Amino acid sequence: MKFAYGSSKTGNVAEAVKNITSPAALFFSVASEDMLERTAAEIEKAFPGVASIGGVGQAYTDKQFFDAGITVIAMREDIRVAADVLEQASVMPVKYIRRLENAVKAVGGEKGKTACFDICSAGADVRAVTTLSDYLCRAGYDLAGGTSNSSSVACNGKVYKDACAFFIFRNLKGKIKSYKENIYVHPQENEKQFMVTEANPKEYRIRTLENMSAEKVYTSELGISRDKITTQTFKNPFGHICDSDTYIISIKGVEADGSITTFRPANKMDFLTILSMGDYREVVQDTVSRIRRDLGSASAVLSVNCLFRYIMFNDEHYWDSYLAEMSRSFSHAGMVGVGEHYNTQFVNQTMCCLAFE
Amino acid sequence: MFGLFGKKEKTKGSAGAAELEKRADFDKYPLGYALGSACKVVDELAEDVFLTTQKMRYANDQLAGLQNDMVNLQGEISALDDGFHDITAAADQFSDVEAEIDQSVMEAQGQMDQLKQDSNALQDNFRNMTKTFEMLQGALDKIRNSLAGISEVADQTDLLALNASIEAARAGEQGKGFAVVAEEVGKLAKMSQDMVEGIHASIVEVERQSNELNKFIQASDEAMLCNIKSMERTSRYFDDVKKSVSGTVEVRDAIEGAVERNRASVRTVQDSLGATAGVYSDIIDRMDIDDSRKGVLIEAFQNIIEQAVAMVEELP
Repeated sequence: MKFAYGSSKTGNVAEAVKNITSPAALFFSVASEDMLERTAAEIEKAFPGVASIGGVGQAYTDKQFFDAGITVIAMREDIRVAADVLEQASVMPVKYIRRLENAVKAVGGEKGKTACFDICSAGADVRAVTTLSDYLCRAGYDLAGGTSNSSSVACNGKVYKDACAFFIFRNLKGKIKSYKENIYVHPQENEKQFMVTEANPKEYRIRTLENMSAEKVYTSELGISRDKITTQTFKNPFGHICDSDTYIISIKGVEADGSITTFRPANKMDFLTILSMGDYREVVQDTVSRIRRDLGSASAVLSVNCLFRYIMFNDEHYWDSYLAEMSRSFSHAGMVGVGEHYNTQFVNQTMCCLAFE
Repeated sequence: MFGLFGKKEKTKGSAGAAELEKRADFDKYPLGYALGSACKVVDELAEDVFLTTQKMRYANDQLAGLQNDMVNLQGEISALDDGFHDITAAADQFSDVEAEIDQSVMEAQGQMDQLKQDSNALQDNFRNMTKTFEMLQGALDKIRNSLAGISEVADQTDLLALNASIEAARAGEQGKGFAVVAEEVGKLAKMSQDMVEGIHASIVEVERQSNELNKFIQASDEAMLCNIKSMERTSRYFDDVKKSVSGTVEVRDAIEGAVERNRASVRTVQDSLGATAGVYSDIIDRMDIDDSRKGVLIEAFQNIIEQAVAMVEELP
């Protein structure tokens, strides 16, 4: 699979797609939600019948970063792609699950060579990921994707509110595999796990951990004051331990009753830990190595980077180096999201991607 | 958690009224009623799982604490065993010291015996010297007797010389030569008498000196005797030390015996603790259920059932 890119700072679709020919699929991002409908329609008009999905957020292609206008990433050669959408994503996406099944059938889904990449409306991520993964995991297909910084997403020329747009890729020349990159690590000594004893997942609110106020647990464990909680998430987000993996939960704020609100809901009986910043350069190297080890020379990587991760890397003056590092090893493109999707889990402060052999 | 279809949910009244409402709901919305019931069951199940999980975690923590206590206790008992080892080592060390003392005492006793032998020989020499002095005294007495005889001869010679002088004087001119001889004989007698007196004075001086020396020898002999007696007492003291030191062997053996018996008891306790800790570990291992997916599974179930509820609500 190969990428072709185009962009327009003014949001001109013709300018953005002028160098794109014969795409198998088009993934696009726009800087603001009001550009979404027009962009989707014009792309459909430029490439009728070509699978396309899009959302709102910054984009990157190899070493370039785009935070204005529109960016179009074309995928072509040796892939078969179908795109569709699960509507009512925060309420009943399962009602549209046949669309997913049909997309898989359309590309001739084959285990190890087929995977899903999705972009969903903000707030619909939990239910969208649960519904997608329920089918995909059973069928043995990987999932990677992210949450658009908008209430709408685009699919095949149309814009849908409260929806989850997805690609089903089939790599005709090899494997496709999903990866998750976590730059946070478990404390090396005296790691504590806290069971969520009271929570309201619908309000993304953790009330108590081990029957103690979440605020008290977090501040006392880190020795910080209440007013530092929101910014501390860049250094010490929660880690949700599930099976043998850890999924990051970003902290949004703290409430008067001592609850902590998050960007990914935690459920009663979830086990959380407080993570620490790892050596992100080393972690990125490790991801590149893992992809190389699994897929040899990966032809392309389509990723979603968390907005918080982008902000943190930018503050550390590492973002450009990060893009350069990734593009040194393979053709790399993607968007900055406000949530990331990895197989069965919706996560924060993470990079999720699909790597094509 | 789910509620019973929001707008369709009725407020609760009396038990009979609620039953009627339930039946009405069931008659009107059988699928919705079933899903709502399922939601309630799942909620209760989730709460039950939550409480069980908390109990299991509490039990697990307690067991882990107990296991930790066992391990600590084992450590303490190992330290006790090490203490026993130290006691035995100290007893062994004491035994070495005892052997060294024994050796030193033996050497000291040997030297003491040698000293005693030398002292006895010296005492014999002193006694021989005393005898020699006695013999010297006898010889001096004999000389003194001989001198008395010589002195008497000298006196008689002097008397004879006087008589000869008288007779020479009577003889007149003819006796003059004889008078000279008699005078010379008188002088010789006088000289003999003077010599006897000189020898006698020398003998007295020799006697005085001999007596002084004899007194010194007697005093040395007595001092040597005291020394020998003192050495004998010291030798007996060394014997006592040897006996006392050899008595510690029994004490050491008693310590080692007691330590060995206690060590055996400690090992039994250690084995018992090890077995108990093993049982705890086994229980903890068996209780080590992966709870991490429960929340996620319930979340997934709730998501699915909520979607089903939403779809039912859409039905005409």
